[in-house]
Amino acid sequence: MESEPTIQFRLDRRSGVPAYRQVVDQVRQALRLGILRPGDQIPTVRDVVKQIAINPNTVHRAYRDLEAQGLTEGRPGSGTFIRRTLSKVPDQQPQLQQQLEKWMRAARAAGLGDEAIVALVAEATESSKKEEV
Amino acid sequence: MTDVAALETVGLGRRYGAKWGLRDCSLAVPEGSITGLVGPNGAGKSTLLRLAAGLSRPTMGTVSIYGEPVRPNSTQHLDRIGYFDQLRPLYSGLRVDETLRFGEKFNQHWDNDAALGWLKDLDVPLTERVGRLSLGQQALVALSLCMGKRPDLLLLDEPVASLDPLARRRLLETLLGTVAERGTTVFLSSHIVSELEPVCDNLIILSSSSVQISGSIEGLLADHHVLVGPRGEPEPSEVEVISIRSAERQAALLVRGHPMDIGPTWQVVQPDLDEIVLAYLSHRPDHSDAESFAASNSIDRSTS
Amino acid sequence: MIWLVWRRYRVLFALTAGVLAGIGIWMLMLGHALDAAKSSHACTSSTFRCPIYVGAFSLSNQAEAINLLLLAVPCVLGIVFGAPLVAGELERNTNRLVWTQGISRTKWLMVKWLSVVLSLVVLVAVLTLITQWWTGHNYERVLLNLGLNLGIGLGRLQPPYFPVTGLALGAYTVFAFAVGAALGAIIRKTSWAIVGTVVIYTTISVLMVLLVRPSLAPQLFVENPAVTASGQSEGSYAVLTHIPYDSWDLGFGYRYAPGASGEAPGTSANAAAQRCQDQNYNYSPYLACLSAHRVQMGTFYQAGNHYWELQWRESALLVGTGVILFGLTVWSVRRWRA
Repeated sequence: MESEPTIQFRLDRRSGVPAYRQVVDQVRQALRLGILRPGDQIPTVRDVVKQIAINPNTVHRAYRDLEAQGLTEGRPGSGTFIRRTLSKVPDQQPQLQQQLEKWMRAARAAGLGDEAIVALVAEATESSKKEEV
Repeated sequence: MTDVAALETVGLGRRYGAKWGLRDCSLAVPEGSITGLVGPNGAGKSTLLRLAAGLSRPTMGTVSIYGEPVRPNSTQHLDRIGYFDQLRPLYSGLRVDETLRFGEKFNQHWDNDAALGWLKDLDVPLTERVGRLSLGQQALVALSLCMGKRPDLLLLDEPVASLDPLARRRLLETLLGTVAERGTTVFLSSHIVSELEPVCDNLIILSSSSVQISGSIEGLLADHHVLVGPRGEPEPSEVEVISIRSAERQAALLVRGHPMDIGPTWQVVQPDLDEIVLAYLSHRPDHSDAESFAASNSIDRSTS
Repeated sequence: MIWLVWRRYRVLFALTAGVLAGIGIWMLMLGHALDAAKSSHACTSSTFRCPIYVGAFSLSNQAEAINLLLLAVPCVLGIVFGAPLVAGELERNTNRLVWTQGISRTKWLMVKWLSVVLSLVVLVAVLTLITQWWTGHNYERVLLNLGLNLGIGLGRLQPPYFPVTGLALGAYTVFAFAVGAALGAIIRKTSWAIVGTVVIYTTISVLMVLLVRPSLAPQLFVENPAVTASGQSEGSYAVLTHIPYDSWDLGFGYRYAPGASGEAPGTSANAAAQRCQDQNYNYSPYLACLSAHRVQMGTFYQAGNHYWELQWRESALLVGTGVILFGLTVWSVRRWRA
């Protein structure tokens, strides 16, 4: 008996981010927010395709990526399940938030406008992705 | 995955009187892929699909399905394909469930439960006469007739044209859900690139009855770049220029190839798929294709 | 596949059965009315003289109407069922649907063509049972109407009776249907196929009567009595012939007496008679000339008892042509390309 999918995917066609990347990112985001926990089943390819009408091969690719990252594992006949959480410790977050606010005040004082700040953050995000497991 | 392409054409051409509907078309649709055929109206998309379905006979060249040449009066290929015509013809006097029965009687392999299931899920009233359904519902019935055959290859001619967004979405969901389950090969045509992009693995660009270029969408995006620079600047030699758009002082070149040492005068930008397709349509001397295509795809034709 | 034919044609078949039944019932009612009129005025089929019955005109008008309707039945069936058989699907593009399912175009056409035409033949066969009975009553109509029989039998071999009785009604239906279907497949438009079917059907029907049917069995001849009697007055060509009742008068003509031939071999009897006529202005010398050349003057006819022979042959011709037209339809369908 088919049960309801655990999470709801969205496809942002305007963002320029490839579809498979968006699927990967949304699973990771769900993990980060605690919506998905180890042992939970992520939606089947068919379910994802029903939610966002994209090529099933794209979903397969995203799921392969997640498996390569060690976040998920496929159980033949049952589906794909979460293996572990992301290596972020939740209680570090208020600390990080304070650090961010401090940096923001410094950036404003240096005269950086919204666009410059966003550009810096984006650059830093990109480079940190390469280090992330 | 076998080596035989689901659909293959070699030098395929079809002439109507003096005019060629399709000319020198050679392509291969890999098994298990979703391949899109894009081009303006009148480019030859429907001609190609009808040749593949056996509704038409080639004037020259060959078309084969899983290695077997398509012959209009043989049923060999019919068992393996599901064909969805642009006109979406149905017997309007039949009810929806009777239409499915028609599919059952006329085909060797027929999954009535699956077809009924799809239509029920999509709230299509099974006892209503097809003639009284909305356009979107009729398209869904026509698609279920194709898919109920459990074909290996789906040939869909403009399946979502003139459908409202909800109907379009439902049709694509049903189609892709089945593809996800069964690995069906899909070959579909459209003149709207944005419809094809999220759905297709590969793209074939057709214009003026000829294939302009074909390949995986990822590959096309990786292979093509837009070079923006001062107007009148000589074109770089290590890339192939597909199209040029000029304003008074600036020009934007859409090129194929990897621009390595092109100097500081050129700014390299990543084009999106719409731009790439439009460039190939402008490639030809006949620009009228490109004009109407741009309009229907809402592409801004000014340079950046 | 037969399911689809039945499902799409069921209303039309029902309507057709209803209309044909209506015609049949009308025939039965009118036939009984004619029976009543006949017996009330002491006309029998063996006497050729009858007082003219005033009320017979209305009955005879109805009888005329029925005869016309019956003659039109095959043609109407041909344009209603035959013309749209292929053309209708082409016009609505459903051929693109049905030719991309799992059965071949040839098989599709064969099943559709055969199941429709056989259904029509069955319906028409039932009607024929009534028309057989009805044509007997039309002789009575003639008697009542004219009160005088000129000795020209209005028999079973002529229109309006021959094409609507026996096997002919069914055969003409098959023919009209086949013409409609073939034209529809070739022209690809129902409207033009209808026009073409009416034209071809009417032409063939007329040609059948004028040219073909008279020769489908050997013609018989009866000599005009005036020729054998002596002292016949000059200039009198209107004579009573005594062809058997129920025969089909094919008209006045000349032939060589059995066993004789022309003086020059290959000279037809007509030519010899013409020469006699040219040479002899007056009647008696003309007759003498004919006699000398062993040319007989008289009436050609087909015997009524050749009815079934003629029915079989004419029907075979029509159905055979229908089969050829079916082949043409198959060829056209196979040839169709988008």
